[in-house]
Amino acid sequence: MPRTIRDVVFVDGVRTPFGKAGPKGIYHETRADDLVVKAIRELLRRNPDLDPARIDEVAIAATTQIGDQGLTLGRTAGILAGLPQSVPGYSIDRMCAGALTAVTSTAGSIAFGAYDVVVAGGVEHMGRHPMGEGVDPNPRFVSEKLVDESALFMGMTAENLHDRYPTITKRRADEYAVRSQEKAAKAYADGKIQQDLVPVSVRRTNAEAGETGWGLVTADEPMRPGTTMESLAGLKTPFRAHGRVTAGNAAGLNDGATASLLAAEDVARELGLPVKMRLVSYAFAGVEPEVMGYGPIPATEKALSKAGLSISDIGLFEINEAFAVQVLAFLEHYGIADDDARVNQYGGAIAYGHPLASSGVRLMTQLARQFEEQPEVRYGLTTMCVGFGMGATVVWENPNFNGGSK
Amino acid sequence: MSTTTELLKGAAELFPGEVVTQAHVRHLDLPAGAGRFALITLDNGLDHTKPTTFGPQSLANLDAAIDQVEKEAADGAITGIGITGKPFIFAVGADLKGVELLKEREDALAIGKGGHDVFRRLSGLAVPTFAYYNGAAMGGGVEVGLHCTYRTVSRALPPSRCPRSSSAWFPAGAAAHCSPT
Ligand SMILES: CC(C)(COP(=O)(O)OP(=O)(O)OC[C@H]1O[C@@H](n2cnc3c(N)ncnc32)[C@H](O)[C@@H]1OP(=O)(O)O)[C@@H](O)C(=O)NCCC(=O)NCCS
Repeated sequence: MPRTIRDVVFVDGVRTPFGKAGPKGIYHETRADDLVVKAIRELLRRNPDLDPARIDEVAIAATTQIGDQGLTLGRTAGILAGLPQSVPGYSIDRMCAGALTAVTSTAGSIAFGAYDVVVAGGVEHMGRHPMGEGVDPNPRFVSEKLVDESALFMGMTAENLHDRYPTITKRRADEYAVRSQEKAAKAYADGKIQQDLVPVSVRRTNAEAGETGWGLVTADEPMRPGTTMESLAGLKTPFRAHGRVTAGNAAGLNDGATASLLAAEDVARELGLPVKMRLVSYAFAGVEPEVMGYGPIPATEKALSKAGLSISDIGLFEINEAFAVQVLAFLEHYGIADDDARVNQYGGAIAYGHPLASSGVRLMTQLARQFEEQPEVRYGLTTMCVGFGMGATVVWENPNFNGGSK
Repeated sequence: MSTTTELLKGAAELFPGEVVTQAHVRHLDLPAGAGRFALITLDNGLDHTKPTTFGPQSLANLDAAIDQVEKEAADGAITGIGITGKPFIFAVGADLKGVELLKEREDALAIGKGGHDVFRRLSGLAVPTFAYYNGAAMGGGVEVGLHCTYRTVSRALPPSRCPRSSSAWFPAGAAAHCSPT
């Protein structure tokens, strides 16, 4: 049977506002599956031209797949979201790059012709499922020195990355973090973020955490507008005595969910669905687990070479900010300035938070908005580092491209 | 509202074993900068197998919550007021256990009147009011929402019911008398 590879497009992306993990966080009494269900329903509400029966797959990522993040979340969330029973679903795990991998796996299947339209997203409720919950690493990792012991602790890998890049000082990391907060505050003030947030009704019964009863979450909880170099200077370095990584220049521990709609381009056009981005290439790469923050560099090399592009072709970057040092290592590698205007225009995870397996689609949703506003840009990329030493990069083309300069 | 308050206080003394419903007031920011909203959640602190009811102390709690939001509305601090229930339950009206304790017709009438008076306040506030029937609603539970400007009913809900007058000590929570617009 002759086969034609089909173009895959990003139709739409939404997310819940992100919360702070823990007993006082906005989602403390909200289930993880309910978060992702909200996001899926919002996609359907925003795209009434899409008959839900046309969805061929629901791929939902979570790092800790137990309890309300277990039970083959893609399938159960689909049913809970009211999708027809005929729509199947499955779960995905690549830690921080879960949602990104949900996108690339289903996109590959669309290109192959297995699917026409899919939902891909992710969720992590780090309050209900703290990092490392229930893990049981094989003792051989340490006994045979397969990885350094620090590799299991993401904050320590960030300190290790600072060691590898002595020019990336705490000062530079803090400056980067202050800018991330500033850009995020500006993006909120300009209404760039809210349009892709789904309001979530949340219940609180613990009066110590605030007013009780039902509430509605309409904004990200972790943001700290007004962060300054001074306010960051004194923060503890929990991962190493006299280290450089602090709560201020790292993403926090967060709860949240994302979901996106992808389709074959011809199907999107036929159904009258929006085409916000066109997939160009994607790649994953492994690196030494003890410096996992380096991962985006080889992943980006691979993705660019598959696309026949070079870094200078990229007009917009959405880099997940697990740690400032990891973004700075990427920028330093490519000779891009720390404050380059193409990078994380709306700020990043340092401000919004990073509910692990959900974040990839947040990057894509933000890049899609930037594409819409900047038709002079042709290519952009979303990239993230992944625990146990990996990187993940997706290169996207702007369908609004007007032939301009970049 | 002092007469209602006294009425309910008197009735509450006759009914010491009431499972008391709290009326929690929580404030939230509406999407798209539409302003600040006060949401009242009716909750007796128990799970859905013990539905939320309106005994005299519960009505007094709702009355006090309405005092609070009435003032906020008048002061321009909020743009809307909502009322909803704990998970799976909106409110199921009278506390039937209490009915048996009420020996005097006047006492029953006092609570019935107290309920109507409290619920009716929701139609006289300075901002629009919304009832979100999120779960089981019967009798007074239905009635409270009928005094709101707008109502929504969760799709997750089986049809709401008004029990026949014989089993409710507000005649069907008077729900039959205020039909939604
Ligand atoms: C860094 C980390 C350990 C901090 O956790 P935490 O101590 O619970 O964080 P908090 O939010 O309580 O912040 C700690 C302190 O810093 C302060 N702080 C945080 N950000 C700040 C900012 N931008 N400005 C000023 N102060 C700030 C907090 O107010 C808090 O102060 P307090 O102790 O006086 O209350 C945690 O966020 C973490 O592990 N992050 C990395 C997550 C991760 O590994 N993700 C996966 C990536 S691969």
